[in-house]
Amino acid sequence: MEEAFNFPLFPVYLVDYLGATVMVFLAFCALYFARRLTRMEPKNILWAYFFWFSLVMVIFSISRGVGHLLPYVFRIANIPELWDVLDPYSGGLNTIALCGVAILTLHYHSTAVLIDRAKSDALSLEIANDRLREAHADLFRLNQTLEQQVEERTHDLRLSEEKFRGFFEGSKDMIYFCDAGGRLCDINESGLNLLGVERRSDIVGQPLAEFFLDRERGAQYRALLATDRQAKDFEAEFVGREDGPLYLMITASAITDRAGVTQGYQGIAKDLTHFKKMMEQLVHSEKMTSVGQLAAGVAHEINTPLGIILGYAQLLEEDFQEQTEVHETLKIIEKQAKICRRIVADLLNFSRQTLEHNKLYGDINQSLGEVLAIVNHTLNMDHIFVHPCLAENLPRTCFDNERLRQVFVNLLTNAHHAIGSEGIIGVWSRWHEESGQIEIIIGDSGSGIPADQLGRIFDPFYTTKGVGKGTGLGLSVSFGIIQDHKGRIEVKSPPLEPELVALDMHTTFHIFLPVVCAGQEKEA
Amino acid sequence: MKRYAFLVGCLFPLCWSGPAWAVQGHGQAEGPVVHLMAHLLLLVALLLLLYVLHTKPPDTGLSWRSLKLSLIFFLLWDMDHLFIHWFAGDMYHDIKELGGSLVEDSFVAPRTPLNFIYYLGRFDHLLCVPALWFFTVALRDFCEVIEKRRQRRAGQVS
Repeated sequence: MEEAFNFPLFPVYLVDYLGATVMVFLAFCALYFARRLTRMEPKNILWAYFFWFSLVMVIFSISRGVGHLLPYVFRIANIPELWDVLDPYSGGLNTIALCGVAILTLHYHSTAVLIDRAKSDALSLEIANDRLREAHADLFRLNQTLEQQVEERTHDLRLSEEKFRGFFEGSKDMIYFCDAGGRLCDINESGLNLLGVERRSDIVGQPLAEFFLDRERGAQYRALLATDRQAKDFEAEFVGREDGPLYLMITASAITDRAGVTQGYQGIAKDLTHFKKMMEQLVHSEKMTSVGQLAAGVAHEINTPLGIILGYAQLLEEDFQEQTEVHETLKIIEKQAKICRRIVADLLNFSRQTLEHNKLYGDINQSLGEVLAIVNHTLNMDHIFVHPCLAENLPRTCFDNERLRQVFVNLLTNAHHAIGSEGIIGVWSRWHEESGQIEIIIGDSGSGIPADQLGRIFDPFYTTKGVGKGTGLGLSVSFGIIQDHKGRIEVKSPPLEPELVALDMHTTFHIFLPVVCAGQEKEA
Repeated sequence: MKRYAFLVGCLFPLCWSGPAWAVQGHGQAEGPVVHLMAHLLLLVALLLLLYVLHTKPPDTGLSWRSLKLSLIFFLLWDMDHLFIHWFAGDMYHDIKELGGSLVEDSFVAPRTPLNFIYYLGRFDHLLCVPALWFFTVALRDFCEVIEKRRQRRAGQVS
């Protein structure tokens, strides 16, 4: 006979009883914590799984607890057959609970896989989003940097532009820009003033070459820029304002792009008109001074023998009776000697070495009036009308009345000769308060003076009159007298002022005399 | 070609088909079999879950360790039940359990290791109670962790 086990089952019952009770309690505790978890993090799939797991465990523990406890209760109550009725339901519920837990677990696994994928996708998206955010931040930073750089560059550019604009507009020289075709694109205010244009729009688009007085010189300028791409100290006369042509010295260069293609030209033109005039006057003044010194020397040397000739001629005249051939010859000698003496006197007068200064405080208008009264009769005989226009506010000044009258007579005589007969002689006196000068203008409606002769008319012995009509010393002497008064004399043919031209004046002499009071003259 | 072979394979059993009833009958043995299948299903599910938690652990805290222990105990309990239901199902015929009262009940069976294991297996609550205990502890720890995390966040915000 095989040996048999005989184990008591009461410990098993006891463990079942207590275990089932604890199981029910623990299942509810688990359900409580699982519910808390789902409330705290509703989106967590694991907590949801734990919740349903705990719920099924509650059902399972109750069902199992019933399955373990009731049989013992029924046995104690002596109705053990009743358990046979309930046993299939308890077992079925246990089976369902087990299946439920298993399905939940499998479902959780598949759901977790899906969630992992979703999380992975979300993570990828988040990473992409982070990168996008970083890229955006970088872009924003770059944008800010760019904005800052643009702001700084704009500021620098504005400063540069202001400097350039200040230099451009403030320059006293003409600054201009031309396009590749040589048409003006921009020009500064000084340029507009020089060229006598009021508005910039009037000049923009016009070829610069058109402003050259000599078109050939303009062509030379363009050719020079085309070949050398620069022109340095290029001197040319421009059509300028109403007071005559402009003498400009141009320094220009081509504007090229990176490929070396000419895009335009830029240049600076310096106005040398005044300098040129000053130089001409200086040269003329130097020339007149040299001539005056020469004339003075010659006159001084001639004056002595001439005096002897004249003296002896007059002595001899007394030795011969009148109406005799010798007497008449001596008269001719005396007459020609006197002419020579007058010429010598004029020469000495021109060179300011003869007469003592006799400057007195007086009215130039009065001096002019006296001269006009004398010559008016002679002029009227040739139907020459004198148009005096003397300023009433002319200040009194110190001048040598005799010598100044000589100047006026010379100029009026010249005007008379220039007109011949039937014409107008205009005489004006003006007071230029800003420069402190008195201007006397004597003009005529004669034929005018050719441009090539204008620079020589003040030279001694230069005359266009016929033989015996003039010595060529009148204007030279006048020049000397005016210079002696610290003034200047100019000739305009034709006149620059439109109102003088309107009065049919073809030549005008302008005498400028400074206003000097008696005290100042003495000091000088 | 494979598709046609599959269709032919599906139709092949029809050659031997017999009469069918709309409502299938269920014998008395179906209950234990279904219960065993449920235990097997749970075994597979628990193994899968343990495998997932082992290969891809969501975290390494004590709560996760408790959860793992819980699942291991559940697994052991399930295996215990499978053994009890499967291997020892037939032994009921040879086992005399009932006595005069609950205290007098005893397990009388031939002295074999299987019967001894069967007797020990009857103490299944010694496995399922710790399993549910560790599960409850794990859930409680999860709650505490989340609570602390919330408080930390709230502290950072304030």
